[in-house]
Amino acid sequence: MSASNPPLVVAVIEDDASARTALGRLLRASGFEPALFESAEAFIDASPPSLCAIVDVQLPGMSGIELQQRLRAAGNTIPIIVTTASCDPAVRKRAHENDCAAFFWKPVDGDALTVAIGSLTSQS
Amino acid sequence: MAEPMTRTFVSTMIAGVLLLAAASSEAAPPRRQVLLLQSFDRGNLTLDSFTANFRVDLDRLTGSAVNIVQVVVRPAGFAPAPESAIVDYIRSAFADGTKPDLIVSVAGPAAAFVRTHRQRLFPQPPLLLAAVDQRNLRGAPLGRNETAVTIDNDFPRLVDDILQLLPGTRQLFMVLGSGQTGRFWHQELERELARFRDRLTFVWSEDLSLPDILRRCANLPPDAAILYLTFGIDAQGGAYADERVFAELHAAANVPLFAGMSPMLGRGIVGGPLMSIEDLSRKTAGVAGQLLKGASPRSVRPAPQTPGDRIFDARELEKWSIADSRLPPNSVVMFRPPTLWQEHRGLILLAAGALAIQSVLIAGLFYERRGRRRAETASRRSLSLAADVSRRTTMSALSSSITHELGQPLTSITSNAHALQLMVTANRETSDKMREILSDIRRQGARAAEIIHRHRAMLRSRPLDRQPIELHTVIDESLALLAHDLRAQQVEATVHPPSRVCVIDGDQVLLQQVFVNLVMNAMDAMAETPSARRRVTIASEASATQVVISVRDSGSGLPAHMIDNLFTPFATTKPHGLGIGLTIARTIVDAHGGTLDAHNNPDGGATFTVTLRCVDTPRLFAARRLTG
Repeated sequence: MSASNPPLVVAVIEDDASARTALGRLLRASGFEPALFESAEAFIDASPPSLCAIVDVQLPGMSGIELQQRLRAAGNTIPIIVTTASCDPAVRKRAHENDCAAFFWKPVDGDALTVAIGSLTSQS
Repeated sequence: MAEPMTRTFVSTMIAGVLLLAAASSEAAPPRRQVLLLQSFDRGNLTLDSFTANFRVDLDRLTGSAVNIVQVVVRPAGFAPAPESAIVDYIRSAFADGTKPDLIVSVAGPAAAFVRTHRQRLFPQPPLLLAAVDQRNLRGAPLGRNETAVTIDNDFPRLVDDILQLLPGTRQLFMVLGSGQTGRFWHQELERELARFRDRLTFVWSEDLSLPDILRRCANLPPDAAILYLTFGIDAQGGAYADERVFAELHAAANVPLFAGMSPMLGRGIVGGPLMSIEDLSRKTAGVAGQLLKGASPRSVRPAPQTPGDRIFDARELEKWSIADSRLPPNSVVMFRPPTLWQEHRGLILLAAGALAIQSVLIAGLFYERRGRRRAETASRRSLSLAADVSRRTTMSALSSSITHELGQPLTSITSNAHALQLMVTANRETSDKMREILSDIRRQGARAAEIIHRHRAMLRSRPLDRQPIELHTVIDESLALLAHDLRAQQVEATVHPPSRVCVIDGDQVLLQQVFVNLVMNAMDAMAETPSARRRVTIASEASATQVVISVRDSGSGLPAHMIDNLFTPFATTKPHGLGIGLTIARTIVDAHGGTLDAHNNPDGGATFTVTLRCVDTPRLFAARRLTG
């Protein structure tokens, strides 16, 4: 991440305000540029060019899984990191079926998350 | 991360069971005797707290029960006895030629007493002067066979803090009792607080009776404050426990109340730098343990303990309109008002739930191990029931929503802390302390996360399995589960059934868990009660609509500081307890629409009262006929 590169935008789609803010702070402190959205619809409307998107599953309106399906159906290949506070193993299965780059149960370990995002930058 | 802790806990419990078994089947090893000379009768907040903690700490340290013979050297309530009579009395307690292995005096008066009469009071065993202000030892250095765990009260610092909090203070009303103790401290404090004389007027109260003190404290000028040291007797020779004096003083006072000992916190003092009596008793038990092992008193002489952290009571700060901004740096504020509690109650209870899983797993393991040990004698039914109790308690105490509810705030906590940590690490000027605090937040957050991850699979909510059950079945089955423990601990259990048939619509296994928990608590509370007086009485009184079941013990009673938070998660008096047994019990009773309360008995011990709704019996039987 040299200074000449444009900031690495990471989209965060999370309806819980405190979790959203905190994740944003963590990303910024780790050298990324967070773009925060409180719903899947808001993210689709803005469609910011991003390195990846961190998506919560339980969202008002369109769920995180539905967002995955929508994006893939539209040919969008943005890497998606799925997080959830649910304890249903089926959620994880569905996230993987719909092509997620990584999956985390909440609470998310910050190091694991930044490593996952970092691995996306080295791939791209 | 939590796993080693779990193992230690289980092995400690198992070790406890083995010790118990050994004690009941073989000749007990000779008990070490400690003569504990107490300065005042029960009711002295500081000394009661010290002694109660000391006994527990010493037992834990030495790994075996130590016989403590406690004598009050200055008994109140009757004409002052000549000290020689008390010496005779103590000697008579050891009349059969035995002598104590160690003498411990608690606080200044007992220290003076034992040193005066040492020649007649067993000169050979080592003497430990505990909980004594080092001022009391001036001019009489420790002898070869003596050591001391001293405190160094810092009254000027206490007064500095009062002025920091309430800069307009012009008068300090000093409550310190009369008699020798009051006179000693008046002289000392007059000297030590001399530097405040141009700013403060000190009003000394050792010439006043208690009613006069209370009257004065109710009518002090607004720029006054009260500093409470201790209380034994008033100017008219009336003896009062400071527990009572303190409560009355707090109720009457029209200005803020200050004191310097940790047991006073939560009883109406504003706060300040407090002497931690818990630390002091732990330290004293450590020294006593060394001496019982034969260490030379000269080799164990810890430095005087000074007041610890500044701790304040939020309720008093609010009552006297003291802004948080006036508190000195690094102050800890406890007893935050209900709004904040309400805000976090869900999270705290949920966290308790998460830990409950662990404890239940532990309990499950414990039952399983114990079951194996007495497989020949125990009935298979009670074992499978015990395992069921554990599993079902887990299920009831938790629901799958917990992961969701806990997952979100924990994500915020850990992410925030992580972010701040990264920022702080980049900034060299930040103190090590802050880095340490942040890493603590992360570690604890991660620990909670670990609990959730590990038990995620277990978290499935299950509704209560309600059936009409007869109350006496629940109680009898609970006692059957505990029969072995009751025998081993020589506890006599009596059941007074209700005068009428009483049927409850409830979950039998969960309700049994409630009574098992209450009876086990009662047994724990009677550990120090002579075995002939260890009694649990379960009495029930039923009306047409409800039944009140009381579980009464003859044990040590509920410590005053615990009464208000008995059912709060993690509040415990047990060294290895998690403090969630009663929380779970109340959760279960609540789920049945009942209540669970506790109080101390006037004649000693405690009573827990469960109130449950009864099913209207005729209707129930009618329903049975219909379905049958």
